Amino acid sequence: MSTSERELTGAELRRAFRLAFDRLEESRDVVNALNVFPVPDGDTGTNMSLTLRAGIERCPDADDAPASDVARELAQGAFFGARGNSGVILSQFLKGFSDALQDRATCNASDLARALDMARVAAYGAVGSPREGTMLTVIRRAAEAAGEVADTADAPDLLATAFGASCIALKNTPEQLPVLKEAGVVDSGGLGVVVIVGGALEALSPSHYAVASTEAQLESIIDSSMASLGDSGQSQEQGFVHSSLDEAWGYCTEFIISGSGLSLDDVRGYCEEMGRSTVVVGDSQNVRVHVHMQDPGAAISYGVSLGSVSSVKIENMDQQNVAWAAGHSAPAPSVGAALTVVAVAAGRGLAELFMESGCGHVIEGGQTMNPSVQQIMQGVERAGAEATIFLPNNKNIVLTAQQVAANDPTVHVVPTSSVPQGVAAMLAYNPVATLEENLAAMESALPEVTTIEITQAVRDTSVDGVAVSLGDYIALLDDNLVLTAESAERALQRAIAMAGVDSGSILTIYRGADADEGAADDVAAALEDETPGLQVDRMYGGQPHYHYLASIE
Amino acid sequence: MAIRIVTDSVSDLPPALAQANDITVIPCYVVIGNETYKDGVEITADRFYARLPDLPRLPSTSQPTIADFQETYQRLLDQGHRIVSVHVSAKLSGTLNSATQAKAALGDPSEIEIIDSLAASAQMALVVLDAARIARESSDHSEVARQVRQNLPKHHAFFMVDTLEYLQKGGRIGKAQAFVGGMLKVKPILTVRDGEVHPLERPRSLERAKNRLVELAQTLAPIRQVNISYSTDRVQALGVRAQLAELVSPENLVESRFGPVLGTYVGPNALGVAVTQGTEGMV
Repeated sequence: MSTSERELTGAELRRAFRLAFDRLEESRDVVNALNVFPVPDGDTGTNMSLTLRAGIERCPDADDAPASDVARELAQGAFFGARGNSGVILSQFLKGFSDALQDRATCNASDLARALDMARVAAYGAVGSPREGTMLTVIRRAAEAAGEVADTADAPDLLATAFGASCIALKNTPEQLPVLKEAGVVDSGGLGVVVIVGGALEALSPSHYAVASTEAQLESIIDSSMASLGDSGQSQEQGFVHSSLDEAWGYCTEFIISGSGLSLDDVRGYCEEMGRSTVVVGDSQNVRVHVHMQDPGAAISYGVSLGSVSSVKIENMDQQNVAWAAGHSAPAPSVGAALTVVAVAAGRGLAELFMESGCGHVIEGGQTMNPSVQQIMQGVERAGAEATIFLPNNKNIVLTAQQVAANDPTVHVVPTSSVPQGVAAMLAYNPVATLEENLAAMESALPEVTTIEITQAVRDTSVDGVAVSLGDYIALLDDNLVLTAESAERALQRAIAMAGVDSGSILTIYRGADADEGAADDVAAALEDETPGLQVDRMYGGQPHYHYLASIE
Repeated sequence: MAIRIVTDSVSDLPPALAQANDITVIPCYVVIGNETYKDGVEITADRFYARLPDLPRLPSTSQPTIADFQETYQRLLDQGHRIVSVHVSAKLSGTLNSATQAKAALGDPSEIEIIDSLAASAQMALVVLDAARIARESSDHSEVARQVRQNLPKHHAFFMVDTLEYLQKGGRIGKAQAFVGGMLKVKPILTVRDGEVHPLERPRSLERAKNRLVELAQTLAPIRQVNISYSTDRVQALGVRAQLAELVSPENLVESRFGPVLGTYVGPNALGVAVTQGTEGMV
């Protein structure tokens, strides 16, 4: 280690993470686009960005803040704000990073190398069975490369080395994960890591970053992935399916501006200044706008000033919020109880189903909105029981839930990866049985359930040999994309046939907010005719984006 | 002079078994509209379930009167018998209270032992049959009562209802309140624990519920008595019976029916299995 090397102050560390966040925010749509699965879900870019933002917002901004405080607060904030699997991994990365700097007022290159190494260990520790070819690999390669030069390099050189290694690791991810190779893209979470490391490097030394990113050909790695995604790479739908994650404030205003020479940056700038929860996507001819405004008229007028405006949709978010808040203002039925269940569900029907089956509280969320650690903790607190069984009901929320459980011994996760699994677990719940009896009964209910999900593809891609175009109705069978169809009902029917039902089966169909009442009647009737003894239960789930959820037990 | 067993009609003890064991069954009352009927005497189960769906108001039930008990006790005492009187759980009915008061009105004779079976229906019938069996081998009715009480934890019941509505409206739902509601069709399985109705499981179909009833009974093996009970669907009861038949010899396999009083609370399409743990031929 060179003794003459300049040490990084807490303020410099903060600026590094701040720029990392800014760069991640700018790349959010690109990171989201790399999400190869064509279903509306909580996207990697959004989840990582929201997680890092929660960390940044907690960072002390005093110029003399010690590095240890900056790292600790960043990790704390990210922990509570962690959403989705990628967010949880990132938050653990930051936790490991901060643990390494525990008593450091400033940090040098060897501290950084040690911090990256501990970050790597913590990130791998966040997942039960780590897979290579993901953001974990990118983290690992960055940390290993930093470790190799820790004794000789200064901080910018060390980070440049780590950044270069992360880019190479990113480029190799398709060789490690067949699903990436088939779609012709690199791993989305891996790109998130590269952007974060790159942002930090750029803050320390713009010149180092310029050289390193050119050398690593980062642009071309991204471009070739985006080219594979084709026209739908920057899917215009994408931003919009995530609107449910938005802050409920003012009027949710959506419209398309058509014209020529439109500037995305200008439109985005206007929206960000005037409103909140801005999503602006498109090209110079068509710009799709989603923004929450106190005066939606102003946004429309602005649009008209640039071109012709179409597909206008305005919703009063305050009203929705008030209605939802009103329904939730009563104390939870489980307050003071010895044991309760808290579940995540999107859609009024599903929320009611979980409450009526005995949940103490339902956290609004699911596919497109992954709740954060903090939101889950608040839900548990609201339920107010001495012990809580938590049902994530989504595979991208399981890890977040386990983070909560790791820090709160009164929380026990039954790792339900879908709503139908959650319902089966809930029906196995017996409030007068002990916690241990319930955990055993609920967990043993999970393998009995086959889950079918019907949605519309949000991008063109190919998954497991099934070619998918934007807007196709697609069926997922236990999380594997199995077929596309021309209608949601047809997709449902074929997926059920593929899964197979017999006379002892129970088929439950949960109708989503986007499916017409009665549209699946024929499907149900035909199945009941074909398979005597099959029990078909239908109910309104009200879940967004997923026309149907179904389970076969 | 012998020991005689007295019970009430909530035991749903088949009349042939009552007769064979010299058991006196005091009927409870079921109230339909403005009419009051003696359970099993003035209204049969068939008649009751046939009327149930069309009744504007759910029936209600009433325990036997103190006078009913006094009369029975006095008659048996006059014949020189001693009495072991086994009744429905005090948490479900005031019957035990009537019996106790009747005994007090008779001057608290030591010839009468009153037992809370902590059970109802099929499970209670097994307690009553246990009492009859023990009484045959003993001349000390207090010792009989002691053994019957000691055996209470060996009797178990699991029953499935089509709907919890009857239990809820009849005020007998106990802790199974937790299973009320829910938008999915389920066939709740309940049990009686410490004399009270407890929720157990929520299978999604009749087939699964029946299988679970059988499995729950099987897990308690070895078993020395089985009682299968139903409200309206004997075919389903026979299916369950066939699956449990091999657990005990035929004389220890009872088939009974939820009578009008029980039917008020479990409703149509209910199915129950009660068992007594132990080895046949041993006390």
